[in-house]
Amino acid sequence: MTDDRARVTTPAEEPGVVLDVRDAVRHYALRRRSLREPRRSVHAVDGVSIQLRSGRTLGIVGESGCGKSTLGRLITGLETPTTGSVKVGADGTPAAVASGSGTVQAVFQDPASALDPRMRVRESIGEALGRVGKDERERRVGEALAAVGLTSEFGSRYPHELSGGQQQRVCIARAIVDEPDLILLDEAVSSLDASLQAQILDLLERLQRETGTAYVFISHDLRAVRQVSHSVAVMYLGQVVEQAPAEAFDRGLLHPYAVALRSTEPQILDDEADPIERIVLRGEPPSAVNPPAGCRFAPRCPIVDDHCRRIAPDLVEAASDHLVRCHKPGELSLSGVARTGAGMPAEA
Amino acid sequence: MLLYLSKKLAGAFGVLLVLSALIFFAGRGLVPGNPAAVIAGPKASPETIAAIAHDLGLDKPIYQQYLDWLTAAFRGDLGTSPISSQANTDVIAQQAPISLELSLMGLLIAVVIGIPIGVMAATRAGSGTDWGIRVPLLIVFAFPGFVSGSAALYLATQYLTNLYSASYIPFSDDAMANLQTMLLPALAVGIPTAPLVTQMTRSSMIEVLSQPFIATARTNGIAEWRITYVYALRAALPPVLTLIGFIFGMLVGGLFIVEEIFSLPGLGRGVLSSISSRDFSQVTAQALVLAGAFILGNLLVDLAVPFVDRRILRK
Amino acid sequence: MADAPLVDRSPRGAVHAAAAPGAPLLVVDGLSVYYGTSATAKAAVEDASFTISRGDRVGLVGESGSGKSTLASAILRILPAAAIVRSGRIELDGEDLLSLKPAALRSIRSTRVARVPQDPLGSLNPVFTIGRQLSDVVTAHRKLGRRERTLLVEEALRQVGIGDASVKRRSYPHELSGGMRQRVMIAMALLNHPDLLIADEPTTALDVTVQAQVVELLRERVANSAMTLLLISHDIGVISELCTKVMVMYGGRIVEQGAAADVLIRPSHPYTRSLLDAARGKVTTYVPDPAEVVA
Repeated sequence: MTDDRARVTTPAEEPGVVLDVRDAVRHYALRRRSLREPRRSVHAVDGVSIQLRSGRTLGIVGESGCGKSTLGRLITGLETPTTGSVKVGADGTPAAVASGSGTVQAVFQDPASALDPRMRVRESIGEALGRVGKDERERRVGEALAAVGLTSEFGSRYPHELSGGQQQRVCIARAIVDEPDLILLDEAVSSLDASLQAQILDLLERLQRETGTAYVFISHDLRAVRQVSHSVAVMYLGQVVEQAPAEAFDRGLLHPYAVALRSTEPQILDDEADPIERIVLRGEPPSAVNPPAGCRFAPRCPIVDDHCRRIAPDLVEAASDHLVRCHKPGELSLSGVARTGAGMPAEA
Repeated sequence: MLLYLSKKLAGAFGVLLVLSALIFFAGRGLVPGNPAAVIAGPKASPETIAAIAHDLGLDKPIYQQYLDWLTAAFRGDLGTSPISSQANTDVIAQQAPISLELSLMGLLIAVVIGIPIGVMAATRAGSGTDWGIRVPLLIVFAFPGFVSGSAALYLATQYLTNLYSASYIPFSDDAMANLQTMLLPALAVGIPTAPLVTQMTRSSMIEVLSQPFIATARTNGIAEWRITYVYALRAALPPVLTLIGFIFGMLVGGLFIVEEIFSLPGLGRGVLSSISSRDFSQVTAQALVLAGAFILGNLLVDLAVPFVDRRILRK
Repeated sequence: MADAPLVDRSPRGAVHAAAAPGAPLLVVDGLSVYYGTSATAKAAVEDASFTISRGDRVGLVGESGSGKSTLASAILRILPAAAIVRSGRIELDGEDLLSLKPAALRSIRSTRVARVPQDPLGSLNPVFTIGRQLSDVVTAHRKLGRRERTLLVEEALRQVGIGDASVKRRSYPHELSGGMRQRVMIAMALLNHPDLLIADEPTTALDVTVQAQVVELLRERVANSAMTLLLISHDIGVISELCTKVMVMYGGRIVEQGAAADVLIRPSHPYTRSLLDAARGKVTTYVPDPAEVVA
C-alpha cells in the first residue's frame, strides 16, 4: 500500500487497521405512546461499514439524530451492534470485549463532567493507566501533561481550578496516556470557543504525528471535521450518504445533502475566496423512526424525483476512496445552482 | 391520554391490592388477643370459643380467610363487627364523611394560605420578607396537632361561643350549621399543614422563576403579576399538586387528635375505638377505607397534573 | 464614538414617526457593568460606547465570557440581581433606559425593543400553547378582541414560514421541532413591530441546516420591516452573513467596531485577527483565553 490514506476497501487482516466496522446496525425499541400504536424501533445506526488505519483520522459529520453518537458508542464498546460487527485494535477484538482494556479511549464534549471533581488532575490521568509502578505512573502522567502543553504544576490542581480549554487538555492527556490504538473524539471541541478550538485541533494533529494514534472525530461542525480528518463520512438518518477525502469537500462533493451541508458552513466576508452559494434545505432532520421507503433524504432533497422516492440507493464507489449513496450523484454541486431548488426560500 | 389513564388506574389498583393483604394480615396479627375469646367473654369455655371461632371462619387457613374477605369486599361487604353486630360499612358510612369533609376543608385552608404565601416568598427569595414569612410558618408547623387543636378549641369556647357547637350536625341536615361546626376543626387541621404547601410552592416557584421563559415574558412586556401568578405558578404547580394529594391521604387517617379534641365522630376516632375494643373486623375495614382514600388522593392528582402540564402525556 | 451624537429630544411619538434611516436609535455611552459591589468585583462590561442607527444591522461578536450577553441584558434591563451598572448611559431614541420606571419599561418592551433568545425550548412556557403565549404578548400592549388577536397571531406565524398556523398555534412547545420553536420566537419578537431587535445567539442551539433557514428568515424579516438589528453571536460567520456593522468584544471591552467590510477584511485589533483566523481554520496567532490569564 503506497497510498496511506484510510481506504474503505482495505481488508481487516491488512496491518495497521485499527477500526473495522462491518454492516453495523443498532436499533432501539421505542415505548408506545398510545395503545393503538404499533410497536416501533429507532434505526439509530443502519448498516454502516467503515475502516480506519493507524495514524489516520476519520471524520463523521451529521445533524442531531443522524446516528453519529450511537456509532461512537458502538466503537467504544459501550453498546453492542444489533447485527454486524465492530472490531477495534490491531488484533481485531470486538469493541464490546475491548471496552475498558485501553485499546480505545474517548474524549467527549463536556470536559467538566468528564473529570471527577474530587480528583486531582494527576490522579484523573493516572487512573487510565491501570496497574503500573508508582515511578512509571508518575513519569508517564508527566509526559502526557507535557504533550498537551500543560506544566507539571497543573497535576496537583482540581478540575474547577482549570479553564474549559485546560480541562479539555486534561481529558486528552488522559486519553493518550495509555497509548491507545484509537481515540474517539465525540464533539470534543464543540463547547470551546473558536480560538480554543483551533488550539485543541492543532494539538490533536501534532499528537497524531508523534504517536500514530488513529482518531474518529465526530461532530456536527463540518468545518472542524474537515480541518482534522483525512477522510470524512457524512451521515443522514443512520446511514453514511457520502464518504470522501477531506479535500473533496471543497468542490468535489456528490451527494445533495453533503453539498447542502457544506454550503451552509458560515462564510466570512473575504476578499480572497469566492463565496459559495447557500443551499437552504426544507424542513428539519426527521427522526429515524419509520424512515422513508426510498432514499432517506428524498423528503428534503432539492433534486428529488419519483425514482428516488421509490428505490433506496446503495452506497457505491464513485471514485477512488469516494463513496456516495445517491441516484443522481453530482447533479447538485457546490458552485451553485445545478437545476432547481438551490437557494430555495425557507420552508413555506 | 387513555394509555396514561389506564396505567395510573392499574397502578392504583395494584397498590390497593397489596395494601389490602398487608392490612388483613396485620389486623389479624396486631390486634391483641384472640378475637373469639374476646367476644365470648372472660368466663367462656374452650368449646364456646371454638364454636364462635368456627362461626367467624377463624378456623379456616389464613389465606382462605383473606380470599373470602377480599371477595366480599369487592361486593361491597366489609364484614360485620362481631362485637357491636353492626355492618362495618354502616359504621364507616357514618364516620367517613366527617373525616372526608374535615380533610378537604383543612386541605382547602392549607392551599389557600400556603400557595399565595409560597409565591410571595419565592418572588422575594433570600430577602427579609422571605424570612419574615417562612420562620413563623415553620414555628406553626412545629406545633404538635393537639397544641394547635386545643388552642383553637380554647379560643372558640372563650371568645367565639356562637361559632362553635360541640355536637356534630351532618351537612345534609343543615349545611350552614355543619360548616360552622367544622370551621374550627378545619382551621386546626389546615393551618399546621399550610407550611408544607408553602415550602413546596416556594421551592418549585424559585426553580421556575429562574427559567429562560420568565425572561422572555419579561422582555415581551408581560405584566409582572401575570408573570408570577399565571406564567410561573402554573408551571410550578405539578409538584405542589403531588404534595397536596399526598397530604390528603395523610390527613384522612391522621385526624384522630383533632376529632378527639372537637368530639367529632370521624374515622380517626373510630379506628382508635375499634382498636381499644379489639374489634379486628372493624379495624381491618376502616384501615382498608383509609388506604383507599390515600390511594384515591394520589390518583386524583395524577389525573389532574396532565391538565396543568400537557408534557406528562408525551413522555 | 465616545461622544454622544446629537439626539432628537422631541416627544417619543414624533421621533417614532419621523425617524429616518440613519438617525441614531440606540446610544450606549461609557457603560460598565460589574458582578458584585465589592472592590474586587469583576467587570463584565467595561466602558462600552457605541451608537446604532436606524436601519443598521450590527453584529456583536465575542467568545464566552467576553461580556456580550451581559451587554445585551443591560440594554434589555434583564441583568441578574448580582450585576450592577456602575456607570454609563443607554438611550433609546434619546430616552434613558436605565432610569425608566417599571411601567414605562414594560410599555417599551416588545413594542420598541424585542429579543430573540438563544434557547427556544427553554424560552417558551412549557404549559401554555404557543398561540396563547403569542396572544398574551399582543394583549400586554394592545386592547384587541379575541378574533383579531387570533388573526394577528396566525399572520405572525405565517410570516415566519409556519404555513399551517391555525393548527400550529394550538401546539405546546415540546410538540414542535427546534427550528419551528425558533421561528415562533422570531414571530413573538416581531408581533408588536419593534424598532430594535436584539437577537442573542439565535442559531446556536440549532442543527446546521436549520441554522441556515433561521439566518435566511432573519435576513428576510429584517429587510421587510425596516427594523434595526443587533445580532449577538460567538460565530463570526453568522454575523458576516447578516450584518453591515461589526463590534468585537474581548474581556468586557469593545476592542474594535466598524463597517463589516473593514472589520472582517482588514481587522486592526490582533484579537479580531485571531478570531477570524480561527473561524477560517487557520492557527496563526495565539490570544490567551481571558480565563487562563486570570488563573
